[in-house]
Amino acid sequence: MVIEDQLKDNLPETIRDGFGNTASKVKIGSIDVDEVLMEIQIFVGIETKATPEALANKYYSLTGRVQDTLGSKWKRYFPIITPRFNRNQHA
Amino acid sequence: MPNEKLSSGSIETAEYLAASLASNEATLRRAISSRNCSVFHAPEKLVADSLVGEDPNSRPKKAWIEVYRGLNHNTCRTACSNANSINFPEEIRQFSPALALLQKECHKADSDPEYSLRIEYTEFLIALAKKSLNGLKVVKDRDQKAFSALVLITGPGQRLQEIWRAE
Repeated sequence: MVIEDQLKDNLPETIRDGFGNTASKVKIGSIDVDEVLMEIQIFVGIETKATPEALANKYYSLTGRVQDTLGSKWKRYFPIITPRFNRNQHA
Repeated sequence: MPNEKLSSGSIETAEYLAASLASNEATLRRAISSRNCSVFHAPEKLVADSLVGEDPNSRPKKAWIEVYRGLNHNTCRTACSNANSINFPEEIRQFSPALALLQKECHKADSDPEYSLRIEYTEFLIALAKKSLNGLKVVKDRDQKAFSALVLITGPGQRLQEIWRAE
């Protein structure tokens, strides 16, 4: 199974909303669906100047937001959002 | 007597390793492993305390250890993933995504030679683990027992969990 393009297009905004003002840019790296483990692993690049603690505080709401964006078709799959932080000095 | 502070101790070890002047790739990987240990010690202790007893002087020691060690990490993570669809308190629902990410990253740190870690990301994972563990500490006794059943019971009775929780 693969995530539909329309849903993929919506994910960066969902994740950027989740990180709020701690992220200046969000870019999806890859999305892998594991049908055995029933997981969707989402690798995402985040441009940020925020502290690790601030980012951790924002991380918790992401899963629910992504599940909402993916909708009922994917409700049995658990999204695991794996961020990679880029410290943008000019952000 | 079992060491009741393994969870917080593992976090401290992870912080120590990440802050070490010699925080090279190998050190950061050890920090990730310590942090992963910490997030599993927490549910293991919670489940054993809630089902067998919190008081080390009055609970059956072997039974406590059996439950503590009986928690399968993969089953626990899968069950935690399902917690989002059950009416659990926020602290338990927040624990699931953190546990899932931390376990994934730990497996990579332990076994993937191409896995690359940076200090900022390690600090983020440690912060995530600390917040998750602090959240679990304030969960009410009733919810602790429901959570324990969720992560331990994998048979068809697991489905009854939702009904029990709704009572």
